[in-house]
Order: sequence, then structure tokens, then C-alpha cells
Amino acid sequence: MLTEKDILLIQNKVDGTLSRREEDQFAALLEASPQAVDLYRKLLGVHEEMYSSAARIPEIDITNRVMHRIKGKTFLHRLFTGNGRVYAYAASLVLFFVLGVLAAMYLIPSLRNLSQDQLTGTMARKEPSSWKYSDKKIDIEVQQHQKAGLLIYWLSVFSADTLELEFTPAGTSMTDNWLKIINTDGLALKVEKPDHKISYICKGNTVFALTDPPDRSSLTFSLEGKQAFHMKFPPTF
Amino acid sequence: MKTIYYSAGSPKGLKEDGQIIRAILDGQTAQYRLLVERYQNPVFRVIYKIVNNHEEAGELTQDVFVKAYESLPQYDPRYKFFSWIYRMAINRALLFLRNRKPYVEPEQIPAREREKVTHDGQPFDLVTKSTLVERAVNELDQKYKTVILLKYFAGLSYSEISETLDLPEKTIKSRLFDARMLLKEKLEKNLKYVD
Repeated sequence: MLTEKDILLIQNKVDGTLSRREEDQFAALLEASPQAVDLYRKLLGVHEEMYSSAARIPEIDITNRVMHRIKGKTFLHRLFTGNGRVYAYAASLVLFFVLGVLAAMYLIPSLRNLSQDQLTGTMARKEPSSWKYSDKKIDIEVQQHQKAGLLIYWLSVFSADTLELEFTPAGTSMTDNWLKIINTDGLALKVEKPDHKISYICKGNTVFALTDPPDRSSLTFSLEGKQAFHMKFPPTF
Repeated sequence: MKTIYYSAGSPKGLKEDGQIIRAILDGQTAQYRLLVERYQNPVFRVIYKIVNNHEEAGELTQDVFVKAYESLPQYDPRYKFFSWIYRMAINRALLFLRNRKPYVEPEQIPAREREKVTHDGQPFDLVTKSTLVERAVNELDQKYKTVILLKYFAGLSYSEISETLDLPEKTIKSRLFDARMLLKEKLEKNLKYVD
């Protein structure tokens, strides 16, 4: 029966770590014990098999790729750990602040509405009787025409999402003829409202006609319940 | 037995790891190349034996060295660099395995093929044997597999494995013995070894 000491001696022989004295002990053990011989052969077999398995793995050379990847990190590392790091952190704070303000103005529509009573966004008067408004999700073009003594506004609307149009006429008189759908390639529906406003929802390209709106009437475009564009009649710009 | 790969630490005449790390921390980034060249293959072999895919092992090896570079300011010089990087490599590979889809084993070798042996008892071809050896290693419990990987694929001594795994040398020797016996059993079962 092999002792723990015998097993350790055999294992160390396999690993090639025996001293001169231990080599003699090992040789004596093998002579005295067939069990030791058997164990030694088994351990040596596995030992050699593992070395062969390691040798079969092809080598790689990733040095250049690693050095290339750390190059970029080195620049930033130096920037933020060198003598001028205070300036680097200060510059980063200023940059993040500016980017944050710009992002907020771009992403939050309400910040872009300078006033509820005025058109906002990239509204521009194209010619004496034409206006255009566009932002990330909406494109609106308003063209004013005169026909048979009536002022007619053609509203060409494009919206990527569902847009609500609400016409609020001034005074108490009410007629559906004020605002009508002329054409659409997407969605355009009239919405019944309890008050005397005229409402539509649309998506995609739609053309509306607004006929002779009374003065002090207004037209409001809303996306997801938030006002995106507001126009008063007659347009004052 | 010929040594086919670096054992841990630097051969005579070359810079010690600690010297190189000090130079890197002083701003000589290019010196990091020496550490990569020194340890890339042992680290790769260890990772490869865990993930069993050459391409993925290559990517992970790069990741380990990049991460090690980023962590150099936190490196504790009381411990050897090799033990630090092997620990990082093993953890990275095991994390990758946990997040990866289940490993699809190579097709089962039909039993009748496994029984084919040459007249002197040697297995029938090296490719099949290599697959069976790989499978035997993969089937080991992680604690045995780790010592086998560090011993044979990273080329570490008992004391170096002990430092890497933060376990007593006696425990390492005992685990290595058990791992070898388990491997022997599995290989005998699969290859019908005739000693």
C-alpha cells in the first residue's frame, strides 16, 4: 500500500523536481512496489499527454493589436493624469455642459417653443404668402391664396408620427368648411370634439385647406399631446 | 521533456517584470510590448483551453492585456505580474463562457470507431485522440481544470500556481494529483489505453 509520502515522491518524479537523494529513494520505491510502478506510469502518461496537448495549440501574436488599442487610451490617460489634468477636467466639464444644453434644446420640444403665441422652430417666411416650419418629425408648409375674394390657406403637412391639428375659430360661429382634408397618402381623420374647435389627426403626407379663417383664429399642431407649432390668423410675419 | 513555452518570470539577461512595469508607469508605454510578448502565448493557451475556440480566445487574450494595461496603476508589486495576469485571464474566460451560448460539443465519435486500435494498443489517429484529451480536460471540475491549465498550458511551477490561485502549495499538489488521476480514468475509458 502506497503512503502519502510515496505518492508525493512519484508525483515529484513526474514533475522532474527530485533531489539526488530523492532520486535514490524513488528508484528503491519502484524496485519494492509494483503499485508504485503502475502509478508512476499512469501519472507520467497523463503528464506527457498534457504537454503534447499544449504543444498542439498554435501560437498567436497579438502584440501589435494590443499596443494599437492602448495607444488611444494612453493619450487620454496622459491628458487626465499629467500636470495639466486640472485643465483637462475643466475643459471636459465645459464641453459636457455645452453638449447637455444643446441636447436638451434639441430633444425637448417645449424648450424650443419660445412663446405660445408665436411660431417656433425653423419657421421661415419663404415669400410674401408662404411659410414653412420643420423640425425632426414634422414638416409644415402654409401657402396663402386669394380666390374669389376668399383667403385660402393650403396646409401641406408631413408627420412621421400621429399629429393633431386643432383649429380654434374666433367668435361663436361654427362651420366645418373652415378646415378640410384635400388629400392624404397616410392617415387623416376628423376628430369630434365637444367644444367648437375643429380637430384632425394625420400621419404621413396630408394637404388641408383652411378657408377664410376669421381674424384671431388659431391653428395648433400637437405631437404626443405637446404643442409643436401654433399659428394665428392673419399671420403677422 | 523539452519545454516548449515560457515559464513565468524573465529569462536571464532580460528585464524583470517589475522593472518594466515601473518604466510603463513612468510613461514609457512602449515597454508594455515586452510584457505582451512574454506572456501572450501562455495566457492564450489557458484561455483557449477554457473557451475552446481559437478566434474567441485570441480576442479575449487581447482584452486581458488591454485591461491589465489600464489596471497597471492599481497593480500591487508585492505580487508577481504573471499571477495577476493569469488570474485575470481565467476570470475573463470564465465570464465569457457564462455569457456565451452553450458550447456545442463536436459530434460524438461512434463507439465502433473508438474501439479501433492498432495492434500495439495505440489509439487510431492523433486528431481523434486530441479531441478526446480535450474533452477529458473540459469535463474536469473547474478547480482541477484550473491547476491543469496553469501547470501545463501556462507552464507554472507549484509555487507559482500557489501564488496565482492564492492557495497553499500542498493543496495545489494534491489537486494536481487528483486531476491527473481523473484524467487518466477518462482517457482510459475513451481510448481503451493499453499500457
